[in-house]
Amino acid sequence: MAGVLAQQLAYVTAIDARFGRGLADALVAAGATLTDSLERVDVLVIADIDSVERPVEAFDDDAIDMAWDRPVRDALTLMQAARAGGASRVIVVTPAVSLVGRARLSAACAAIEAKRLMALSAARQWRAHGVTVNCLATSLDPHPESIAPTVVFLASPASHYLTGATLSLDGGSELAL
Amino acid sequence: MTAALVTGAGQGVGRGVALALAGAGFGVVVAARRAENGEPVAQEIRDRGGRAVCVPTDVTVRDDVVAAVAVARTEFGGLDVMVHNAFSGRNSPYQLEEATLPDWDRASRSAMWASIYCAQAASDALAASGRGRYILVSSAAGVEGSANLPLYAAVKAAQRAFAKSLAREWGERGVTVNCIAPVAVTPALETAFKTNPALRGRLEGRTPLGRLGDPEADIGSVVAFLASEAAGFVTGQTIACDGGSFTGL
Repeated sequence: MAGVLAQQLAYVTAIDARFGRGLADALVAAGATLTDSLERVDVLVIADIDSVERPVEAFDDDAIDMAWDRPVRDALTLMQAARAGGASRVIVVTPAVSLVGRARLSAACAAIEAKRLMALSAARQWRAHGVTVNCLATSLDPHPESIAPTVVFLASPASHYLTGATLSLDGGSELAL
Repeated sequence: MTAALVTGAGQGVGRGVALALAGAGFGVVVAARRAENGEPVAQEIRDRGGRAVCVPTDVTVRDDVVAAVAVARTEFGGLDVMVHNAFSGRNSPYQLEEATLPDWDRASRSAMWASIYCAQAASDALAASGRGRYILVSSAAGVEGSANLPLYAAVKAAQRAFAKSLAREWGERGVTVNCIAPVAVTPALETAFKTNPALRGRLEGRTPLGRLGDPEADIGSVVAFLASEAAGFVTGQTIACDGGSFTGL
C-alpha cells in the first residue's frame, strides 16, 4: 500500500526510546522510508522529551549543559541540517509543561520552550519556501499511539497550510494553551 | 535597608531599571561587564542622592555573579531584588540556517546560563529577604517568535518558561519570579536609527501609544512596581511594557 507518505524520507530522533520508535513506525506504516541521514530528507521529527528534574540550586555547569543547552543546540543543528537537506515538514515535540512551568523542571522547561520558539521563528522564515514547522504540546510521557496519527497528518501534504502552530495534544489533561 | 542588583546596568534598559530602583529607595549594585559603562550609572545614582556601587560583572562567569551578590551583602546588608537584564547576541536579521554555534553560545550563555547563575547566587539572599524578587528581562519575541532574530526569540522564550517554573519552585519561600517584555529606546536602537532612519517611524507606527519607551520612566518604573510590596502577589508572569505593541499574551 502506497500511503499518504509514499516516497517521503523521514528522520526521527530519539528512535531508541519507545516514543520515538512508535512515531517512526507510524510514519513507515503510512508509507514513509526512514533515513538516518539529513543530507536528503523530507520530514524531520524531533521527538526527544526533556525532563531533567532538580532544584535550580543543584545545577552545576555539566547539568546546565545536559538539561538546557545541549537539547536546544541539537535541535538547532537538526533543523538547520533538515532545511539544507530539503525537508518540507519539521515536527517538534514540546511537552505542554513548558507553557505553565513546573517546580524542579526549570531548565527542562526552558529547553522545551526554546525549541518551541525556535520552531515558530523558523516557521515564519521558511513559509516562503514551502517548509512547515509545527509543535506538539504533549504530556511528559506521551504514548506514541496517541500522538502518531497527528504526526502522520503533519508530515503529509494535507497539512500544507498549517505552520507555526503548537497543537495541544494531551487528551485535554493540561489545556495550557 | 533594601537592595537590588541589576545586570547589564551600564546602558539601555538595565541603566533605566537601575535608576528607577534607586529612585524607589533601593541600594543598587550596578553590574556591568565594563566598569567604564557601569561606573557612570552608579555615579549618576549617587549624584541624585541614591546609593549605588558598580561591580564589573561578566554574567556568563559564575564567580563574577557570586561576587556581585557578595557586594550587595557587604554594601547594603543583603539582597531583595535580582534583575537579570544583560544579553549579548546577534542583533541584525539573519536566517536560522545561517546561525552559527558561536551565535548560539553567546545567546544561550548570556540569557539562560546567566539566568541560572543569577538564581543560584541570589537564592539564599532572596529567601532571607522575606520579600525577595527575581525579575528577568524577556521579550515579546519569546511569545510570538521572530523572523529576524530566531535565536533571540528562543532564549527569551526559555527565560519565560524558566521564570514560571522558578516561581513555582520558590513560591513557598515567598520569593516571586516574573519577567518583563519591554520596548524602549536604547543606545543600540539609536545606532540602528542612524543607519536606518525609517525604522523609528515603523516601530512607533505599530505601537498604539505612538512612541517608544523610555528605559527609566517607562520600563524601570514597571520593575520598581514588581519590586514593591504592592506586587507581592504577582508571580510567574510576564508584564509587557511596550506601549501596547504586543497584545497577544
